[in-house]
Amino acid sequence: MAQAELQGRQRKTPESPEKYDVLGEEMDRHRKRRKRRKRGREEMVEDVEEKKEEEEEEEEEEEGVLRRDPLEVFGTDIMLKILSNLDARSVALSLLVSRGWHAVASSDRIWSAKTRIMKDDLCDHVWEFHFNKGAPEYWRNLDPFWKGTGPPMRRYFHPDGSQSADPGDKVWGGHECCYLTFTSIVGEGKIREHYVRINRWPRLSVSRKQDWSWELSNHLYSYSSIPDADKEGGTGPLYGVV
Amino acid sequence: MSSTLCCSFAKNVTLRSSDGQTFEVEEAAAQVSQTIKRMIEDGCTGSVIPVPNLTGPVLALVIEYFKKHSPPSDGCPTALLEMEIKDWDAKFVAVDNDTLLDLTLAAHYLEIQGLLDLTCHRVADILNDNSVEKIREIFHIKNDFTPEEEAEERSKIQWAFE
Repeated sequence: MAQAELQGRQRKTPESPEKYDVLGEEMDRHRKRRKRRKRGREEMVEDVEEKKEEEEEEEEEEEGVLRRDPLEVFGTDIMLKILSNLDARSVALSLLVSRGWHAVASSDRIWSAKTRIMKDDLCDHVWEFHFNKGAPEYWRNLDPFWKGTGPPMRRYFHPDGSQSADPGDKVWGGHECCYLTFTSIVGEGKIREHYVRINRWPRLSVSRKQDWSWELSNHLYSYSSIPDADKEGGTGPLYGVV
Repeated sequence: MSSTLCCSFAKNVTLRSSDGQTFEVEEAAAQVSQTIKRMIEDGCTGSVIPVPNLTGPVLALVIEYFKKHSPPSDGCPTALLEMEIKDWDAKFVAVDNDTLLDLTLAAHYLEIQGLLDLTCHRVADILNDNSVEKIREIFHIKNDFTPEEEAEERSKIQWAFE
């Protein structure tokens, strides 16, 4: 039928090494290549399973020949969708691939989500806690961070929404403590307001430090996440802070 | 869902790829694609629905996906069925990179959300698993940074390197 004729014509189509921008041309190029691969093969439709196996076998010899830059093929929108599936480290590495990738991978649409702290992030880490200069002297006097009397105090966030401290913590009053994360989002995934709040105390703003660990702070006190370099899926930096 | 199952025989539609190959598929299955669903609903389809952005081999793969993901004829999908589909999906996108890019574009063009999510995750996995140099190599991407620029960018994200 007409299919054979089409195939014949496509085989004769001259090759072009030029860059393809247009979707149709991109597909066209793919088709031609596919035809070459399947030369002499009549049936291309039936038995997809078998075809897929064959493709896998051929993958080895195709290495280095058929590659296309996903950014050029997909455009920005699909690329953003792909990059938003990555963890922060992989997005950061994609910044280095090329200038085009840098432009996409530095988009706020990805990073605002990565700099947004979730309950899991709170619970994944152990947190060091200390008072800030703005806190009353009474509290600073109880804080080993200010008095140099020992290691910093630690705080633990639990999946049930509670918070706890180590035994013997001078600041911890044995009271019940609950936390929440708050985010308000205005269109396009842009974050308008984002904070963590413990009990009814002043809200803590959320930031990432140079080493990508978390910091929660207000004028009274600060929390710093302890790196979880060895933790699977941990969101802290991948190496210890010196 | 069961109200759509009143017909005792399945209605078929014919899809035609950019290179003129035609495929017959159940209408319910083809409607996994929102684009095709709209075309059918708008009644702007003759006997054959043209799919000009997909080549035959890619369309054939997409139709396999349609068949696997068409609404089950016997009511609610079971947990077992869902698991089976998940396994099938994983195998479905375990293809060479080139086919993966084509499937992604096809899912985007035909508005097949499930397939788009699936292929985007697969591409993300490839990016996750490889170094910057390897990513460039895999996708044949030219590094157009000057060495100075690259060094500077690298230093900005020192935390991402072990």
